[in-house]
Amino acid sequence: MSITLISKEGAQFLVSKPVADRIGVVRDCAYGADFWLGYAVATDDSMGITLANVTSSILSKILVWCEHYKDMEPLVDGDSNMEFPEWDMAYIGHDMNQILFVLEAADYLHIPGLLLLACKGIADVLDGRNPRGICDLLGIVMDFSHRQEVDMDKENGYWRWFLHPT
Amino acid sequence: MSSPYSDPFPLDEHDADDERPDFGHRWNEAALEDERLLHQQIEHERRKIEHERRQIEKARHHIELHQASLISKRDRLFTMRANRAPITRVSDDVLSLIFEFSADDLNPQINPCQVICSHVCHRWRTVAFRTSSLWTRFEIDSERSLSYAEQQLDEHKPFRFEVNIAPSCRDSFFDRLVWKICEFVTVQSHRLSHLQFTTCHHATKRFFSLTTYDLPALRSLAINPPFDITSFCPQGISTDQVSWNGEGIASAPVFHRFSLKDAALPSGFVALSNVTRLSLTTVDLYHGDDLVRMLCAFPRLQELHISHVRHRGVERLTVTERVCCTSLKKLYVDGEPRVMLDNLPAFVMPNLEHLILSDVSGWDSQLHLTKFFQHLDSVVRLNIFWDELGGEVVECLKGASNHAMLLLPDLHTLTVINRQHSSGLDWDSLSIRDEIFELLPQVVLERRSSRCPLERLQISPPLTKEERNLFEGHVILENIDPISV
Repeated sequence: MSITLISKEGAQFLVSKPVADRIGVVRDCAYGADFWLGYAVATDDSMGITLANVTSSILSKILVWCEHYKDMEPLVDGDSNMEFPEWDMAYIGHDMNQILFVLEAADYLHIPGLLLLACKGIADVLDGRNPRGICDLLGIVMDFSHRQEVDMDKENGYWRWFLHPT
Repeated sequence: MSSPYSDPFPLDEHDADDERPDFGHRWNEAALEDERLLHQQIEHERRKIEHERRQIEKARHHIELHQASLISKRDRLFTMRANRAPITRVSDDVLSLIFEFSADDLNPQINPCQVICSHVCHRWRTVAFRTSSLWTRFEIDSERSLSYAEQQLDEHKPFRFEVNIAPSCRDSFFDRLVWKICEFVTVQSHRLSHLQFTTCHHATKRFFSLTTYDLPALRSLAINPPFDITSFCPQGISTDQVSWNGEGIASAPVFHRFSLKDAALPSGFVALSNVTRLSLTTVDLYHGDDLVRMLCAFPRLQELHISHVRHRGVERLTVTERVCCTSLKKLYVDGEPRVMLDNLPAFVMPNLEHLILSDVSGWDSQLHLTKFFQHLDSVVRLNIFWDELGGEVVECLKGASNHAMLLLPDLHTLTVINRQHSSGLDWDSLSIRDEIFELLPQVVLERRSSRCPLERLQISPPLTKEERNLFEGHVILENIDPISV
């Protein structure tokens, strides 16, 4: 059995059942009703599941991960002490925008293993940056008032050189 | 600092008063008509300069206004974009998870993630404060820091916490403090996930010998004595001070990562069957068999980092026993692992896949290197650096690329990188790089006809287009970030 996934742009991706099983949302759509109501919703190949929040490029990237892990037990939970295989680290890479989109999609599609990997990827890219660098990289507005900044500097006097390099 | 808008036509001192004092009033009264005319012209010029200066002031004021407006618009644009930035759509729970991964570093002094995350913006600050695992690392070196840790753990009741034990045994309250730390760890052991000792080895031994701990959540242990050990311990690292032998931790069920630094290896180490990653840095050996026995204590070892193994007393250590690391997949050799190089048959690694050679000294000749590669013939990935050893490795691979004497027959990925944290190469490295680079295409071509050709070549810093052309069609060329390696 195979399932058609439809991206935000309308592009169709035909995936096998083991690959689709990695994606929580798809699993629930396709087999959830089967479990609860006694019949399957998406038994017909021509039926597609629209993933309105995922672009084609990100969906194809996510399917690479699902394909790689199609024969393994899905990860349900994990923590920051997890060790990721080299393949995973090479897959997630260092492109912050790309990782953020993967993270967003993994959260939306409910793929815990990929979500954790994306968190690890982001943490690695942020490593060694000061707050200003993080703001510039991620497009965050530093919304502290001058008074608050002075107070925070007092809290963390030791790290001032790193937080506000000259 | 001078203003960028300083006056382009400063008024000369003499222009302020053109009635020269040395001529005097009497002479000016007797001035001729043409002199009066000149006076008028001077006055006219002065007025013109004043007029122009006022124009400049006006223009400067306008520029400042435009600049303020530009900055404000740029800020508004950044804010508008920031509102749509992908990070804003990340939920607080996921953001908290990212912080946890950022704080995974074992040494918080190098990576003050807690401080950085809470200085980015209001939202990050709030989420960082709510992420309990960011605030559960305690360095205990006094009774005050111990009571702080106890208070925090009682207040926040985190899922897990980490401790760095760092009292100096020179302190008069040392015995009492160690006893209190033991009590603290015993009470909280069910959620202790990482333990680090930044103190002398006999203090570590003391900690484990005082009582028996149940450590169901302990994942990693680092023994990392301070650099100035003599100020910590009257014994320092004396020749008769052998480090802790693993006693008291063998029963920890999820303990998988162990790091030992600046230590003399004990002759018998307690078996730690769950450990998969081991790092031995600057360790002293009295007997060759100590290293073998140490490795025997880690039957499930998957990653081994050996750096600067020093011999004590004798130049050459003989190994009589043998260790078979069947699970070992990754070996990182750094410094001078003389005992390993001299006794290769004693270290059996039949399933080793990834070998990293960094700054290894102690090779007698190419023959030594060849023997090393022959011994580790299951390696499929090899990492070298743009250094002398890297040059010798490439030369060795080139010399043995024909079918009869193919070294590392399963090698499919070769990675050549510059040192971590350095953005470029110095002059010495550049000349070595040229030498290595000259040999690389030959190695790729010669291995192409072997039963296992080189598939990937990963290089950092990136090659130029001309350099890339040399490998076109022969191997997959990848740029690689040395930090990721």
